[in-house]
Amino acid sequence: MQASHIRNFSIIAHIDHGKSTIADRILELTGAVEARQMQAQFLDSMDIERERGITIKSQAVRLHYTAKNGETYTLHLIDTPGHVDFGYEVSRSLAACEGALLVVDAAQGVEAQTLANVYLALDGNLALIPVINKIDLPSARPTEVCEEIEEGIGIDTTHAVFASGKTGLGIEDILEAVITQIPPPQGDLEAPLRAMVFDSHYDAYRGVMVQVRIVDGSVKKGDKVYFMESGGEFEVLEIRVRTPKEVIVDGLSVGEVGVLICGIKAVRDVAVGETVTQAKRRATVPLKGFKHVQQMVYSGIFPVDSAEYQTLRDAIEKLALNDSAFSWEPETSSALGFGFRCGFLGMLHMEVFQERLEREYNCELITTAPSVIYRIHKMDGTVISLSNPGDLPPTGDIDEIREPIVKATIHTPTEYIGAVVKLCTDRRGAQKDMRYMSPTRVVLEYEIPLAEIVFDFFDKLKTATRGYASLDYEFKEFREGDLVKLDILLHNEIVDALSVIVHRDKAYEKGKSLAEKLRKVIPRQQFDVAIQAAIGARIISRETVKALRKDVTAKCYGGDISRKRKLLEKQKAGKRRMKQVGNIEVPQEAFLAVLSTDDD
Amino acid sequence: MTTPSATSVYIHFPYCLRRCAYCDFATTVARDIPRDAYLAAILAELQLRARDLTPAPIATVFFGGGTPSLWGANNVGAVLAWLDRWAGLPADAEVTLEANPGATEFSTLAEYAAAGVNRISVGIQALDDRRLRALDRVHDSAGALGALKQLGELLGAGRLRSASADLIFGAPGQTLADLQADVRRVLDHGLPHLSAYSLTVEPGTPLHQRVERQVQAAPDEDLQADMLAALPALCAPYGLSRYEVSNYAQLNHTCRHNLAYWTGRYYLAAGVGAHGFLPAATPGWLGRRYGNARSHQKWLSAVTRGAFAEELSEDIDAETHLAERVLTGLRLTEGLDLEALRRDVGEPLSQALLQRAHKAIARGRPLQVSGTRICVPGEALHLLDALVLDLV
Repeated sequence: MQASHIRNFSIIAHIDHGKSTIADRILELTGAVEARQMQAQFLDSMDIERERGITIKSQAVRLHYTAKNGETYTLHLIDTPGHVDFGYEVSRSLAACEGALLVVDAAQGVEAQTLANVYLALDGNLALIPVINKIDLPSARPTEVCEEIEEGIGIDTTHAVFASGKTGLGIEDILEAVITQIPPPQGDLEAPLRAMVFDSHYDAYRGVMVQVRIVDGSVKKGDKVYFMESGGEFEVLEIRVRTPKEVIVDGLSVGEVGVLICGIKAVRDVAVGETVTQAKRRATVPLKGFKHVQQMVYSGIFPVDSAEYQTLRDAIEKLALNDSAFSWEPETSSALGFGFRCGFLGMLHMEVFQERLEREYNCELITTAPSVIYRIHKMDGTVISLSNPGDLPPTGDIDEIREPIVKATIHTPTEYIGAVVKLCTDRRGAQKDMRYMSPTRVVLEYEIPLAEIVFDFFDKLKTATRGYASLDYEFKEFREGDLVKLDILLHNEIVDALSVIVHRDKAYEKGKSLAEKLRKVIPRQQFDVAIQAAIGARIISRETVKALRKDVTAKCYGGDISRKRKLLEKQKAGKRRMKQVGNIEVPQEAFLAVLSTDDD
Repeated sequence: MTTPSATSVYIHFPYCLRRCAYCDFATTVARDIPRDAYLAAILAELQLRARDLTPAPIATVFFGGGTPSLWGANNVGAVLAWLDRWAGLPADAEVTLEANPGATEFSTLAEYAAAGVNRISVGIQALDDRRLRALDRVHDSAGALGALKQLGELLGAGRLRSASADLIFGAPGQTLADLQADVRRVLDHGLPHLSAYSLTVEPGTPLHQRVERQVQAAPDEDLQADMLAALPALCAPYGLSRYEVSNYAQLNHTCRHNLAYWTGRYYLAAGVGAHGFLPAATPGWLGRRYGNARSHQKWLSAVTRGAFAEELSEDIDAETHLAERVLTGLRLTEGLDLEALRRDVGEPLSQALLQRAHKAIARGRPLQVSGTRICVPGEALHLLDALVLDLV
């Protein structure tokens, strides 16, 4: 296919603005998927994606479209995730495109991630086509939304397409706009191969599937290719494209998108963002990559049953093969034994990963409260980074503790400004800017410690604004904070997995609520269990779980022994989900009690 | 080698005059109880089940419910006559009938005794009118005392071999002194057996709904624990000692039928919602547990057609049976007989159990291994369920 007849584009949108539905309609209209085979969110192949209505993994699909000018074009549609956690995946997908559809909900208008995604696209010099979606809704206000886009983002909406993913209205207009408004790939077919790796995933039978976009030159089956960053040399065994059914092709040339299968064993052997060239005829300058992934949240993952350590390790390894944004290393806890310290892009990423471990690999997990990375400046002048409060050096050795600060952008209707400001102030945020997008919508910018927003900030924000506010954030810097380690003691022993780093002003309140919460979730045992919260040697709160007085079934249901046995099996399953800490049985949820900040 | 057979028989009579708040057994409240039709159906099911069984002299029969004292002595007698013809019902067999005070209008307790019942278990539950009403019992304390008096007389006259009363303790409002008074007033009538159950809120019962809706307080577990601990001393002056978590008896007055359940014996069961345990039909299994339909129409229509109405059928392997034996056997103060267990489930499984028991003991769990028995000492029986989890 000639590059002049290729168009590569993504769809970017705030979550729930209808990105996947638009993609579904495009697949239908181009005949890639017949209506009867259609299932909603076609490109979201994971169960979790469909259940939660989110896209996690990018997907590239090749489509053919005969435009009104009579010419047939090859379109590569690269689906992107919509959630704030996965902004990194968005930037990767955009690197493979010349343009993007900016989908904005005709009722909701511009949101924080709309803006964040637009900035990513503008960074990459992409042509943007505004698509005002859901115009069939009674509450749609497309003209106003266009004004928001023009004034708030500064994008011309003269050629904006009004569409409805639900009814299919405007889908053909979108495709025409893709042909006329997005430039074809510009590359040198004769130059040495330069292909951008924009994603990779692991397939149990074929090894690593490397998603590439050809910038210069071409590649075909049998070629020896060289990965310019990781330095590996491999033979191309097979080339595939998704239509969305996977088909094998002979080769790829300028502008095309496809999957190289080179018999590579692990995803980490290929750096996402790197350049692939021919081993024999190498390009001299690699393509400009894109910013590397940064984990924001860390959490300890331990098997409930220590004997399951290897099983958990295997499962994590397998999932990690497919998730280059995830990092992990072994960790040891005196309370929980051997496990792993895992890094995630955000809370959603963490939840999804844990859910997949439990569902797809039947792992029984204990996860410790998520933490951010801290920089510890020690008295001896050295600096260490840590995410596990248990690793904190003795107080005397610490000069200062620095915590990550993010720049948070919040879009909200003006009537909720007060509530948003209060929430941000409670979370130690400092307001940096406030500007009006329109008379009724405002953008607030805050500098706020990451630790204050990773847990439940988003939920709280949604509650405070009846769901109308949206949030995006990016890392700014590490900054000194008056931080202390809060320990929890069970039976006078510190449980390392329950320690947290908190701001001194909040330590007392946090310790009290944590002890109370633990009293509620730790079941009564055969003896009294003392729960204490402490900062250093100072006990700031104490609770007791009274000993269990009676635990026996009164009547054995006559001759119905099966019923009693099934009850026993249920109890046994419940007990398996408990962790033995010293003599005390602690349920999984205790280790996450730190998470909820409410008194409920 | 002899084919194993069921030497215990359970007959369920589901009908009641009123449903009690706490009850989650298969019961049907009916104004016009189909007494004769129910007999025909029971005999039909017994006949059907007997086809696959080798008859062996019957050791225990238990008429439970529901309220079997509403059935009529002639019907109970007819069942016993059938069992005697089928397998033999020796004179020393234990034949128990559950009776409720105020539910004996069709036959007196004496008439049941004359029909072949030699042990009566009467559902007293409480001797306080307010508490009886809270449990939705159909009788009052006067009725309960009347029934106890009759039992005492029948025992004294040698017309019953044994008798028992059920008490429920730990209902909100009951004090330790109230329980002491209840136990005394029951045992003063000379009963050699007492079952005392702590009030349990079972899902699906009216009591459960009331507790959920907060119109009734949930039982106080700490108080129930105190009561459970106090009961052995309350029974001791009458010569009754505890032999199971909730059961107390004088020497030779333990309930042999219930002991058959708790020691893993086979038992034939018939009637609405009845649960039985029979030798396995297929080799490789230790037995089969079955449970009849809990709906009386469903059960009636099936057995009158000559079909079973089982809602549950479970082949039991050695490992499953081991769990059953642990959870029932440890309820007994004499504990679990490892020797008998070894014969039933084999050496490796019983050895593994013994090892788990030793490990639990090493961890400080209140278990004892003495001779060929594992048992939980009386003072630790109130924590039994947690202990069982360590062993299965």
